[in-house]
Amino acid sequence: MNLPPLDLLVPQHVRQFEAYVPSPPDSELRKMFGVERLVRMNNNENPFGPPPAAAAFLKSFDPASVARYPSGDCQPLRIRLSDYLGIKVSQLLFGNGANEVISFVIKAFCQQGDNIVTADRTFAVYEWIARFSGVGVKLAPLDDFGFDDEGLLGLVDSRTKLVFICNPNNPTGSWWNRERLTRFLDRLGPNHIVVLDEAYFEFMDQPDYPDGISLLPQYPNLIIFRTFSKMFGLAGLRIGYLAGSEAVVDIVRKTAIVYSVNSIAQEAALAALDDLEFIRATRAMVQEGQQMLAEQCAALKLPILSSDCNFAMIKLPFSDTLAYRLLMQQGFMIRTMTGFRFPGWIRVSMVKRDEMRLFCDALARLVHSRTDQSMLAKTYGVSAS
Amino acid sequence: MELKLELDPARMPVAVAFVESAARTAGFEEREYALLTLSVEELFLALCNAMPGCEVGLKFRDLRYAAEVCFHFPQPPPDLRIFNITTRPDHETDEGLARMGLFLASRACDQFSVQQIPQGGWEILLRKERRYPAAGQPFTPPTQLKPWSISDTPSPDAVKQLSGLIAAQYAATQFPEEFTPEGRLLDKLASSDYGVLLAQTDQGELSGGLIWRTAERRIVECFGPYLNNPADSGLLVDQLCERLCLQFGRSRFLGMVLYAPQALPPSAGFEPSGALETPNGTVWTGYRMLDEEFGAVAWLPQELLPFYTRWSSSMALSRDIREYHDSGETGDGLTLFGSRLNRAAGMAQLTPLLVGRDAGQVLAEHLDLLDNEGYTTVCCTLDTGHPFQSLLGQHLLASGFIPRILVPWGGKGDLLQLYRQRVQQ
Repeated sequence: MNLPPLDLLVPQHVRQFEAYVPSPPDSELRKMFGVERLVRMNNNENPFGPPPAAAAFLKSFDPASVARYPSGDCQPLRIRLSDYLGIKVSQLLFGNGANEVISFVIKAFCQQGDNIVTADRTFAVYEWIARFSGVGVKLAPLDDFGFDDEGLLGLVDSRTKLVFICNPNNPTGSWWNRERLTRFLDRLGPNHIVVLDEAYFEFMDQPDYPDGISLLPQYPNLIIFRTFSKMFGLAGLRIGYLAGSEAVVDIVRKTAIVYSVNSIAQEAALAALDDLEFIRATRAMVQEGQQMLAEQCAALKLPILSSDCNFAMIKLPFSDTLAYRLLMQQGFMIRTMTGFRFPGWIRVSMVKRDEMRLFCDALARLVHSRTDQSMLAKTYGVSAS
Repeated sequence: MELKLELDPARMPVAVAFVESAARTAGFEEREYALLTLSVEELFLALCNAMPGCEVGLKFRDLRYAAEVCFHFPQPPPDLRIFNITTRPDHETDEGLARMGLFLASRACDQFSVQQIPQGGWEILLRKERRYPAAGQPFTPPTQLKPWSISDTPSPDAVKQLSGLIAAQYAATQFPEEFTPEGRLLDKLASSDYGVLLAQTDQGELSGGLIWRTAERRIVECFGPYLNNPADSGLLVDQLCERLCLQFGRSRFLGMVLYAPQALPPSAGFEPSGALETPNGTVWTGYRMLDEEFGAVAWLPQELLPFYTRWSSSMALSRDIREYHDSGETGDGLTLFGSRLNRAAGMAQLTPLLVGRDAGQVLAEHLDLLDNEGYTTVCCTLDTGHPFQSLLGQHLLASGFIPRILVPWGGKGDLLQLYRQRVQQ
């Protein structure tokens, strides 16, 4: 049988979209690059794994229970989390990772002809989901590596349904303080939904870093995203949530997929929730890693964007995608930033002290080996002219 | 525009009328499209002969700088050796005479290619380029080059300046023929396949520029930077290259290959991937992967392993290199080269479209022809994603080709560019 007429069946916005290709499994990558061990510094995961209580739950998990469906709307977890956050249960909605929650929100508010507004160099998933859903995307350039309020406001029009603010921004780590955020919300007004992505909320302990959830009573057009993938080390279980005013969450619930969060993820999240000691230990690891990396970059004369989060960006004097391959050959997996519209930069996730020390050494070897100008003509394979 | 019809000689006038009216609507002059319709006529009849009654799809594309007709049909194409530029039909036999029309028609096009397409079936593509008048005013180098700003939507006048700069300051071997004259470059840029980045001063004077094309499916081919003052333009090279990476960083393309008329510093973000020296100037090739490397299998003949291993190792590519052993399988059955000729530079490009057991003989015939016509540099590519192309490797090396450039992901796999250079007598 012939293929169906895909030209006719597939909407143009889907045809034009290029599918994201995730990295192969670690076992395959190790084989490809000829290394026995791979240190993952590409996805901003927590190298400690989940908090001890969540780890204990996972160890004791009864396989027989997977025969039953999970709670379709994560009710036990929402009850517990609402208590923790001081909001109503009905203000919370869970998804299979924050990515799914982004999808719920775009589906709930946008139709063809509408647009979303965000920054040009931020978490790419807002843009991707909008594009393959046939929704317009308007991107404001970052200003000095941070979200530019004037630029964003300048792009908003009557068809703008959603404005996405990543706070702190992935990958630059920049963030708006409470005063700047509320000023922006006041100027934007109530006619658009503002999505505040706080995926790295638990890493932030600066007094003027705004807790978006505390702003909900004042700004009912606000939606907050959070995740259990970063600080809580549950990335492999895929669980994230949003919080908003009841009226807004009720709308989003219409496009949410029930039963999409599995029971293991729900139980592990419950166990992970309030382990403050784990959060303190992770923050200490992050701080130490940022310091080690900053010192190494200073010694190598490499510009670095350190952050309060568990990642930093480094500007290399050569291709970031080449650096990826060369670092993979040394057993370190970083994230190239060309796809984030930062060519020549890499993003490095914080890891434990010993691994970070080894990474700093690998970075030094890489930089020294690739910046020797006298080798240039030889490398090209022709005589210098 | 598309048309579907049965392969029946009686339908041939419909196919010709379709192409003629589409070309006329697109603004092509009769002298430009007449040869294209002749090609369509002859190809249609040849296909009727080879697969009578089959359904064929015809697609016309107005590329602005060229008219393109694509034949799409479900079965493998008939004997396409006639499309090799070396083929000379036999006037003495009926069969030879029957092929004469097709032979002449294939020569009337500027570009021809045949390929099996992933969605199913085969495609033959014929392209006829527009004619353009020679450049107007000669290029006058500006006096002030700094400070500049970079634009990806320059004025037509600025593009003409760039075309003039390229023609005036660079050897013909250092840029594709299509960048001159200026009208042709403007039309290329008006199509979605080409783009430009220009650095200009506030007064509109040209400091330099870079041109890209996206004709290849996975790789952006880039040319330049072409600079007014190459000795004082390190920063400009870096900035133009960075803009290029920004433009394509989040795109469907896996990488970019840059053919530069000067060596590229590492800070430009391109990795050395080989170079071609000619008596008039060197072309330095840089490669920029846009994505993270996920590895591939690479098929190579034993003779090319040293070159490939050296470069893939220098570029830290993850490749499962497999040596191709000829086990006597049939492969493509015959050998067919696509050819592009740049008379001004004396350069010819051969692309193996099909590789068969007659590869050595067909290659030798091509080289004889190109030698006789005065082409001093011949490039032939090998795709490591097509095991059977390895058969060609030994013949290329025996004919004096030397591997010079590696373009990762340039084809189905990586593309090796081999060059044969002759000193002109």
